[in-house]
Amino acid sequence: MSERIRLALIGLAVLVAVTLMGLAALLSSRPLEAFAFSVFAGALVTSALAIVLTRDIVRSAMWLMGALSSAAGLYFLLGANFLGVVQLIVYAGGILVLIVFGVMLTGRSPFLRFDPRPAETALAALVGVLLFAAFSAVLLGSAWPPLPGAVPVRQAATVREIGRALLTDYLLPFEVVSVLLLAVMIGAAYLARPVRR
Amino acid sequence: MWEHSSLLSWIVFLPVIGAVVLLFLGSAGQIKRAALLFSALPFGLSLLLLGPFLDGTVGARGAGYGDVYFQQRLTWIETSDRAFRVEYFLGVDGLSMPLVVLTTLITLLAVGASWNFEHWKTRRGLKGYMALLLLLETGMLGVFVALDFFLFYIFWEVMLLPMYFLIGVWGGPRKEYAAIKFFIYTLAGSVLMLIAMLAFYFYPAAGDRTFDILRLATDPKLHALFNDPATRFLGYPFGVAMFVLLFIGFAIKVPVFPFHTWLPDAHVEAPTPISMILAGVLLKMGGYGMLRFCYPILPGAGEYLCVFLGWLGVINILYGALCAMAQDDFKKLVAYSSISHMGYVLLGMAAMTQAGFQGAMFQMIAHGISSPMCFFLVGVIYDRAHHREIDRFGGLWLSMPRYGSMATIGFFASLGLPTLCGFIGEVYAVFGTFDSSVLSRAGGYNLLFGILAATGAILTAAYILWMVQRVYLGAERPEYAGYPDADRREMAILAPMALLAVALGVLPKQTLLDFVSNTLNGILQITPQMTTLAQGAAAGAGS
Amino acid sequence: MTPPLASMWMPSGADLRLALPELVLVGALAALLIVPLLGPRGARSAGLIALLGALTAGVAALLAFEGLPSGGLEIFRASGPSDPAAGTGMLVADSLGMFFRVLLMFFLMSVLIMWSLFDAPAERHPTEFLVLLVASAIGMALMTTTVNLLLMIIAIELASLPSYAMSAFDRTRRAAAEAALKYAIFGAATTGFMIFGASILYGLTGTLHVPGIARVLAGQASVPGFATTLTALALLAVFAGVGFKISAVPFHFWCPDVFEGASLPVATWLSVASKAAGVVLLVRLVSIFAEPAAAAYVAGVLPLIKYGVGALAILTCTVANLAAYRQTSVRRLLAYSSIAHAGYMLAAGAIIFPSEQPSAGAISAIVAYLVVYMFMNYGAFMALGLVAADRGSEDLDAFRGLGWRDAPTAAALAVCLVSLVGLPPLGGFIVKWWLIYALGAAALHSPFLWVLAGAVVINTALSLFYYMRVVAAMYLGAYEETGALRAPLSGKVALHLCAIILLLTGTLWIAPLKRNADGVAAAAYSPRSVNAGAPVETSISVAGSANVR
Repeated sequence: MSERIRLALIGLAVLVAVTLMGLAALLSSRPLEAFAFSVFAGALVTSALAIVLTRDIVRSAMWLMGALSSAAGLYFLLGANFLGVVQLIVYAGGILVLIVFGVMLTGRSPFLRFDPRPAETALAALVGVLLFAAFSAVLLGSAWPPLPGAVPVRQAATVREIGRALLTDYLLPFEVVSVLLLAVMIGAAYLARPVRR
Repeated sequence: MWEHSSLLSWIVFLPVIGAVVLLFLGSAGQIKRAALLFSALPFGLSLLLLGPFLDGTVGARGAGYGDVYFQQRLTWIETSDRAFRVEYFLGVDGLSMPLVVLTTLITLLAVGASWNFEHWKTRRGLKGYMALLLLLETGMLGVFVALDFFLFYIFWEVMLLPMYFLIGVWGGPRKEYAAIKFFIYTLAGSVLMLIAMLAFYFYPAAGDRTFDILRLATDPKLHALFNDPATRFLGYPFGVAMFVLLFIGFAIKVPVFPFHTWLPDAHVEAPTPISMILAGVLLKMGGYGMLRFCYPILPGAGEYLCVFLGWLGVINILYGALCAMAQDDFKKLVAYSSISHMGYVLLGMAAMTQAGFQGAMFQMIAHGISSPMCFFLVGVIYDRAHHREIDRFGGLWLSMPRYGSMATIGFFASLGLPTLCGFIGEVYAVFGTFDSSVLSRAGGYNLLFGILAATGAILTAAYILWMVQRVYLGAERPEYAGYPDADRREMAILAPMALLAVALGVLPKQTLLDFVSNTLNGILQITPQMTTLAQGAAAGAGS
Repeated sequence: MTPPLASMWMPSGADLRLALPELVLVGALAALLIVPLLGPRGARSAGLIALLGALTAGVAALLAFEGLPSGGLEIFRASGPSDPAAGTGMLVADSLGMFFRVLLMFFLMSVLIMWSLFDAPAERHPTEFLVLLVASAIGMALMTTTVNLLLMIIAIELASLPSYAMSAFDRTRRAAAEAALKYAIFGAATTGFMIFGASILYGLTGTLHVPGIARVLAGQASVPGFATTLTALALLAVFAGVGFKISAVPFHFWCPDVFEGASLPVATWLSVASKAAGVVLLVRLVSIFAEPAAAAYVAGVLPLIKYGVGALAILTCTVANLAAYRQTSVRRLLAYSSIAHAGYMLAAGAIIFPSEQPSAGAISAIVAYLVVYMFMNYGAFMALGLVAADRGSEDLDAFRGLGWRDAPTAAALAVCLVSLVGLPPLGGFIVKWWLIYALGAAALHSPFLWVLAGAVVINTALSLFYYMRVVAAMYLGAYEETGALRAPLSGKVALHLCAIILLLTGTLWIAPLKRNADGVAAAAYSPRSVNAGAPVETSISVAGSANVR
């Protein structure tokens, strides 16, 4: 099967999936929202699966970017704009690049492959399935939204409100984090320096 | 006039003072003399404890359990809310007095037996050795005189470390193994006691909580609570659960059959004086603990478990004797004979009769005299021959007549020959068993156990006579012909024990039974009030 | 919306005074960084700055005992007029927190002394090391005083991240780097769990304030079954983060490797300070959820946590004691020993639940335990350092014959080890006794605790074997004749001081230790008294601090 045909097949599959999502979304009362959710969620699940199934580490990292960005999309959908932006900047922008650089700089070959033994795969699958079962059981069965009597959480804090909270009510954690960052910076600088013997 | 006194504190802590003094002394001679002094002083003082027992105070009083002399009672630890209170509470009664005297005597003799320290294989650290010996004495004495459970536990544990070092540093070839085995076994048993101590403390209502051992047994409210079958501990009847926890702790010390394996190792590896103390005093702590805690506080459970305890006693007697018979090592033989002898103690207690209890007590004292003597006799010959194989000896009586005579007294006392101390204890214990109403009620076990125990006496006679024949009788062997007879020091150590063995055997009533009977009968008087546990449990099993 | 007035959100002077120890430490941190720029470089001046900082912070904490209301008070209260969290504090100032800070500062000074003995002379980067050390101390101090989930997580990170770096500080040792990596990965994973749990709790209750969470939970009339499960899951996830700090058993794998790879002072620091902070934090969390009002709701959750913590305690001490059997390196042996002791302390966490009095009993037991544990562990590690300095090895063989070569040192180490076993007449026994005494007192309400007490005492017997292996090496068996240890005198003095204190706490100081621990526990933070606006009454007597010194 040539490369071109395969690409065409993938494109067709994506098209079919998106169309189906669109059609399904039309059934709901808020079609656009439903459609966007389906797209982001579908992309999230697909890339998450791809991360696990790909053997090539760099590709894996790329799929990770897809997953993180899709999650950011979900955050935007929920109105958590700040969180979505942070997700994009910190994870997709920062950490992911760090990982890729890390792989490129340390790996013996840029096409480092990742070959887990069958036993490891089985164990990981088992843990994953268990966690999935536990979480979904708990989350599906839980009383959402919050318990009666809970302090109401306002939807979608804006950047402005977050900033204000950080400098008023959460001033102390904010300052503590600055100490934390100082310590981490010094530790990292020390550890990253070449060893003089 | 005998009620209150600080005499016991002096007896208990003089050895510690001695141990501290030792640290500042230099020459070996000084150290030995100081150790002798500081072990002789407590012995001398402990003889004063006989006072109320000799002048008729105890007999006139006729009181039962809980009548204690030479009391000293101070508050030791108290929390601010008074929820927790530990007392420094010392005192002796008929149960502990003979054991205190025995302890001070055996320690004194053990110091004498250590006089040839310079000739031991491990001869380093005389100062440390003597200091630890004296610390050990404090621990042992404290166990016998403490009447507060917490204090008792502290003394019980304090004794472990010196013993560990005494076996571990100055012992035989497998000393490390023997020492740690002794330590772990004893500690494992004693930590269970902690749980029991806490349960005794917390089960009563807030106002009644106490660590006072006597009150735990004599306070009717507590007594009713502890022995009530409806009181539950993790679902088990409280009395039975506590009895078992305490019993395991004490049984390891006795040692009772499945927990006995530390004993042959420890006795064989320990140097002679330490073996004397181990056999003479430490084993008695187990029996003392049962008589002090299990039976007075939880008589109902004692009755409930009597068959089980009886079986353990019988197994001890027979198994110990059979093992002793199979030994080639002289010291191991004596060690296994200890297991066998302590079986009578257990059986006598299980019978829960006056004769049984007195037999158990008598057997403890008798064994406390005969077995150190036997160990010392083994030590004397080991010092000369440097081996302990029974089959390589022979005709020692001819080459060492004085030693041979002493050996005869010692081993025959252990055998239980009439007119020597071992006889009385065994006979009382066996009679007590035949008489036992609790055992007979449980299904006629009194006859079975009595007969089995009597069979044990035959086995004992067999292995001791066979050993005496192989070691002391027969033709003189050339390699032992030139051995010097027991010298003055050795005779001075053997003579008091020989004398006591005879005295106890001929005049058991005047030398011991009169002192102990009041207290022991008192324990038995507690019993009948509370036999409901046994009945309740039986009913529970039936339903 | 007008921005709030500065006076409404800036912490008050009273708040700052109560947080003085942390502020002093932050100041020391700054001084450590700035002073080398001004001139004096080198280990000596850096060590002195850290020491002074610790001393000042300790004194500040000690002084802060005066005037603390019984039941504590919350400080750094949120004031945002529109904020749902208004009125809740970030930190609490109470006897327990102050006690811990005094203890921590004392221990920090002790570790600095150890560092100056063993590591400082050859240290090329004293500033970096001390900054990390002090930063982790700030994190630990915050861990024990915070009642806000967010700050709690940050505090745990502040305690942990510098620890990762410190355990890899010796760059010439590959084992150290590997151990530190293991430590960091474990730490990251548990942090993830913790944040997950915290976010679920926030989602359920809408607040990060722990007593507030407890209050919301307590207000539930009927509980949907799965919300209970969810709460339990969230709480357990939060506890997992704490469990990692104290190296409770499923989260303990990093501990022996890190202790072995890190330098001796770092291992000592982690073995006591990090565990102590974790234990105090756990106790605080648990005691808040065990408030009677909360207990009513959490009825479904509480047993789960109680049995969970109890089972974790049993598992921790048993696994650690069994694993310690095979060790020939005394350092690893002590690492497992510290895990086991964390297990014993964890047992107290299970006590707090019977919602009546025992809470104070458990806190008192932990307070006493921490004091004595600090001395015995420090003594053992110090002796290890002295022997290693002389023999160049930390194996059991290095201790052979020590009892005859250097009797005082060996005797002092033996005292520390026997105290770690928990035998009378040493402090280790007494504090273990108070622990199982508290278990016994609480067992009236919950017979399960008898099992826990049984597990603790049986583990005591189990642990005897491996501690005695060191003692046996020192006294029993053959050895070569060499002289006394060639080791710094001040190290020996510190070791002897530890031994003497252990002897005293086991005999003459039993009652004072207990009284002061009770005092600290009785006045510890309680959301009830704080949030009911209870009148600020008697300050606790500060005899409490006497035993700390």
